[in-house]
Amino acid sequence: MFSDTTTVWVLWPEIALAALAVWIYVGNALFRPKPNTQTRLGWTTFAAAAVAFAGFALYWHQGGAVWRQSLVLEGHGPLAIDYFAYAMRTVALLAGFLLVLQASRAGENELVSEYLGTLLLAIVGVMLTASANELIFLFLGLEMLSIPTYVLLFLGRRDGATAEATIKYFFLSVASSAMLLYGFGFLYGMAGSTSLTEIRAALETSSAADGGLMTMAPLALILVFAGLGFRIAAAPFHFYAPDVYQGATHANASLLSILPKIAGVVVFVRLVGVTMPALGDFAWQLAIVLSILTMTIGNVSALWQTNLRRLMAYSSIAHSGYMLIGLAVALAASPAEAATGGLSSVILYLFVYVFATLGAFAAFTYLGAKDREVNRIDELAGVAKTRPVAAAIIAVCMFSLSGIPPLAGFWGKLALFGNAIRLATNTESATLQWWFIVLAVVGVLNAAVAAAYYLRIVGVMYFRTADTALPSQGGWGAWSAAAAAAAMVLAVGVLPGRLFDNAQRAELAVKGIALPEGLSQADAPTSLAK
Amino acid sequence: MVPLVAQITVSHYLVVGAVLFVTGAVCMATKRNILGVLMGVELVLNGANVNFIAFGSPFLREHHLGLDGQLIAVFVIVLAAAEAAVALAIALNFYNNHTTIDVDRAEDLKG
Repeated sequence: MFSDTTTVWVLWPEIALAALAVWIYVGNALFRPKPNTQTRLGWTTFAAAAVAFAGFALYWHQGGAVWRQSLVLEGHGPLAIDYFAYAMRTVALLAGFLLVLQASRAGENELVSEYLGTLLLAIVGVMLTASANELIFLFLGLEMLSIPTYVLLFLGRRDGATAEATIKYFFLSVASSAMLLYGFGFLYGMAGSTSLTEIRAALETSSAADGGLMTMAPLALILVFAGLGFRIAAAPFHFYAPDVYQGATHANASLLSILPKIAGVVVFVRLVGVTMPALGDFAWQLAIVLSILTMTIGNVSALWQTNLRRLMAYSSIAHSGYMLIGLAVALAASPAEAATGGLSSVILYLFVYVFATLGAFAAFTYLGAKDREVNRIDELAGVAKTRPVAAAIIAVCMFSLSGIPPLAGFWGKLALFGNAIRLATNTESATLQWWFIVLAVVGVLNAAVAAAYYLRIVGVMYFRTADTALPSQGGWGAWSAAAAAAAMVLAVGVLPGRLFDNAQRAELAVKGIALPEGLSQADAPTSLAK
Repeated sequence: MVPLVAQITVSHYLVVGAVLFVTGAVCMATKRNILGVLMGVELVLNGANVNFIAFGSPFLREHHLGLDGQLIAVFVIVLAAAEAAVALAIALNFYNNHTTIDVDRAEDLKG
């Protein structure tokens, strides 16, 4: 067992990325005694190349194998190497690549190597979380993400607001990690094992003979929801987000709204959606109540924000609420039914959300300068005249976030609401029907409310004249990151089929269901593992 | 049974863990000094640790070494050390900007 190198082989994109991150730390100290703009450019290129390298490594070594579900680790190892893990690691790398580009000119030259190295480590954290099939691994993956995030937050800027945001985020994040850990303790206690596969089996075969151990299941569920709710900024653990985003730079705010969200959703899917559906009505009712609360609070509070990052924070909260709809569907559907679509719609929505948000933030970064950021919505006035491409990128991202048809966000919302309605119409139970119809109606109403503040930003850009021109010194990196994200949003909006297929495949994989005939070999990438 | 040798069960450890967890949570919520809050963090994490070790006990399940629970505790201790290091850097940064480590004095961000 101890000489088994399979895990090392499987995780080698992460290992390589971590090693390159350490090299960035060490290398900067070795080579340049006085860092300048050229060093910054060099290290940004190096970091981007490192992420791209990890991406290709992942694709060539495991892409084909996970696609056919032929790479299965024996026993209940700590790693889950399925298509879901692979897809989420890919999303983390894609988003990470754009985040590195976006940071090409943000922050100070002296700290560039620290910033980039830490950013790479945070990406590794998300990737490890995605491949974890075990409580210890899962928890360490999440911490591998949050500790670099604290460092990144205070590397962004050195003023009082940033210091306050960092300390707020740090203590709330640690408190949520502790709650999650406490919840993991009860899960471990019930199952006697840290493997998620065995925990699921234990929950499904729970009986009175366990001496009351299973009565801890709802408590564990609540603690897990509390811990993960913080990561994805879901109510009632959302209150930190507006303050922290406001105090952070645009680059850091985009990181905060993306990386913890990916990690949190991944754990929600694997730990709650797949491992704990045996908990019965309580689980999906909790998910529905939190979903309705989260999206309503997010959307209504966003309406009267004037600060751009506070608005994006509330938007990020609202989108977590939408994603919880899919989780509720997955929890409420009977386990016998193979693919309920609940989890695949969450995965789809996550993808769509990540790139639309990233595009918007990268464009904001581009429009500002290091010492003069775009803080208020009013400052965007007239951008359509002075910077038409950046304005178009922001507009595309805003339309997608509000879910207007030809763009990616529409398909995400369609999948989520559609699955809630389908569950309500297919079920016999009157309670389920009632709850899910209400959920879908509230979701649609919220989407309508959300359009108001997204369109307000577009309106300010296109229909008002500028008082002063924006510096637009965020650098080509931020510009290309914004353009790439917007292009992705457009492409997914026009051709959503492939993403739908991938999300469905990921849901089947994470549930451990064999692929149906039609899906099995089609379009397999040519690369072979080993 | 003599009170001094009465059996201590797993649930007693769970109570200790819960008390530690709640004490830590209260400490985090009420302390105004950053270092005080940090001590609350340690209590909370160790409350969870006590739980893991108690649940790993061979007395709870037979034929079970329970090493998983103890391993988690070791990982969490290492993690808490890493977190404390970052926390001290953050506290120093906070002090540089506010000349105090009283968290209530930070009120730039509101709305």
